Amino acid sequence: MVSGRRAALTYALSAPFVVFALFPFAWMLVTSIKKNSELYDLAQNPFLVRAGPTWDHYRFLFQHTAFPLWLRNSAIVAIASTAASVVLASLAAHALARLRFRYAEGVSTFVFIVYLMPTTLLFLPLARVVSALHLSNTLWSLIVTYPAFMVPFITWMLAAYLSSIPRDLEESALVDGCTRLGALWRVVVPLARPGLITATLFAFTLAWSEFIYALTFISTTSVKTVTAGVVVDLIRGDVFYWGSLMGGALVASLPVVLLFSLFLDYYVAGLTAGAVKG
Amino acid sequence: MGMTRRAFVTVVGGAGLAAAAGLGRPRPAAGAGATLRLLAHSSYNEDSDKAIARLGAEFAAAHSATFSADFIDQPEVAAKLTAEEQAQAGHDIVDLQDNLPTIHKGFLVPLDDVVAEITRTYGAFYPIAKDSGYVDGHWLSIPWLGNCELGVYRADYFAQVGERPPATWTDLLRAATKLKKAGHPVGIAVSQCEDSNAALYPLLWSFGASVTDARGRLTIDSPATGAALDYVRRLAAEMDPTVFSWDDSSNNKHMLSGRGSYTINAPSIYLKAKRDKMPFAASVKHAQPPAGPKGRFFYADIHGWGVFKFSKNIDLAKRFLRSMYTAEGQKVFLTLGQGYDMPVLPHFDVNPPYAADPQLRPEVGFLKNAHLAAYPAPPDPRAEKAYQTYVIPNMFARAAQGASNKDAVAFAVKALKDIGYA
Repeated sequence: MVSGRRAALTYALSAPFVVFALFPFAWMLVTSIKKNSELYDLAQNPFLVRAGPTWDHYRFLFQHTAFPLWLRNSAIVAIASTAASVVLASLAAHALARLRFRYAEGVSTFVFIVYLMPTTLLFLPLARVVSALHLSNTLWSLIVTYPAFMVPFITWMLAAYLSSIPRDLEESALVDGCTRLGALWRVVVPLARPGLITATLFAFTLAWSEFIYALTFISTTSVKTVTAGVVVDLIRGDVFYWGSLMGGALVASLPVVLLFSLFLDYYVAGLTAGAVKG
Repeated sequence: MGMTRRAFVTVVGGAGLAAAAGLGRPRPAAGAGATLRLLAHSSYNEDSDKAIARLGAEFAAAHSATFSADFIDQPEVAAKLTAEEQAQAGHDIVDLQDNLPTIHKGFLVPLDDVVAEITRTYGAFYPIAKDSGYVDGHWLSIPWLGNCELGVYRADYFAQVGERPPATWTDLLRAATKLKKAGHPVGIAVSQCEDSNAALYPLLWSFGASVTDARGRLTIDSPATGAALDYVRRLAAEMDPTVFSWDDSSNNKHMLSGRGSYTINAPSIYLKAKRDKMPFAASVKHAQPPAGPKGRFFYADIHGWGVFKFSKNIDLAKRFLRSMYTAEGQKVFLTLGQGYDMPVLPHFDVNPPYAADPQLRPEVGFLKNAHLAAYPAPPDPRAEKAYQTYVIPNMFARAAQGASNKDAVAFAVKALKDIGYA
């Protein structure tokens, strides 16, 4: 009885947060399946679909825009830049958490400060880098530049996590003949899996939802990622394709939702491990 | 077997460089024809973009070149231009709205020779077009099109309340009171969007106020501005209360929902209602913007073409731009533009293809007396910054939501001084 009451209380307390979290998705779904005539009718309840659902906005999205290509491009960029960033950041985080070298603390602080640098400031100097590397208007321009904001963030996150793993385990591996990299790969990485997965999830989300680099480094419709493509191609002057915009946003959010759902346990473990470090 | 650090770096670095070389954009083979790249804002009317693409493709075919046009929504153009200027690479030809040439002038090629050829054949551009493209004694952008801001009204709703389309702001206020009671409120954006700028600058001028005088000195703090603020405060009380949070699509939605009775906008509302065969399309009419105590003022956006100095195809770009200003090119563009896009050369504004539609006839000659935001001063980057940061809509919004005239004007003066006005 007590546990039943506690469960009810838990649900009651969490309900507002669930509604808050799900509201954007519900809004996107409802808007994306409404007919244009109903979308423009201000007298209608915006939360209901009274005139019957329509798939026209999705049909337009998939058949009359490059939306499938944008999704593919986003996936390529997000996976490649996440993989590169996690590898680089793991090495950096390991160095900051384990190796004793001069200025280690200063470097750690510097990484944190770089993480705070807004991407909207970085895109201007990076535009020069992209141009110098002859990568403008290619997916590589994003794959190469996204780590600029992803690596500091993941490094900072992983450094805290790696500090929670006992140093003795790694030192035992070194005594047993492992190289530094071997110990990292065979001992630290398996133990740090929740932290790595959490970092990967965050990095993937950052790359998937990035806008300003995708807008400024890419011009051709077929090379755009989903964030830039949906906004740039579905807002024409003062006419917004609301149904398709919301449909595009909804579909584009699904991979991230799916990833978080699949790895929720690791995610929670990764976030909380550093918190209980004694 | 262990791997040395040096070997690791060599393998990873080598793989990265190899991948970059393999997957980067293929470079054009030596001797291949040039590729002319153009960046433009995406028009509400997709056919306008197609017209530019068609003109470009025809030109490219005749010059053994390739033409590539990218269209993006207007608010994103600024970031794109800035990034390309930093990179010293990108598009050859870029779309520059209103006073943007004053901001990007250091990166633009003077196009005086092209403009001289065009004007020798077809006469001078409209003054507003010159205000946009002519900077510091040079044509840095060749004006291409104008988008006008008209009074858009529902003739049936105005008839229901016994009102005629408003000729003056006073007429509009009187009608707004009746229309609100009838459930069909007037709606003019008083918010951070381009439509709000486009409605409120001419309102300000029509009350005898302006941001600066003809020499660019601040004059916003004046009794005339106070009168304009008083008026908007009264009008706002009779309008749809959501006007303070509108974006550029909101007044379209206001009218296309069938609820709204009046707004100030480009003809996109009428054209959308007509294209989608909305039942009330025939009742959507256009009128000149209302006049104030000091007269009637017209606002329009001008889009022109600039050529970046870092372009490797400057001569080709100039030749392409020249080719766009022919009778045939203008006919293609104005026909596909359907009346949303207007000619900036009076020569082509005598009987444009869309003038056959009586609802679009008020557009003919509209640009003759229209002004940009810098008016009455000459083109000025500070005017463009004030426009882009919505200083005037913010001032009106403050007054309409409770601030005194003194406070609203003080806010505007501070914002304008921060931009560089004195």
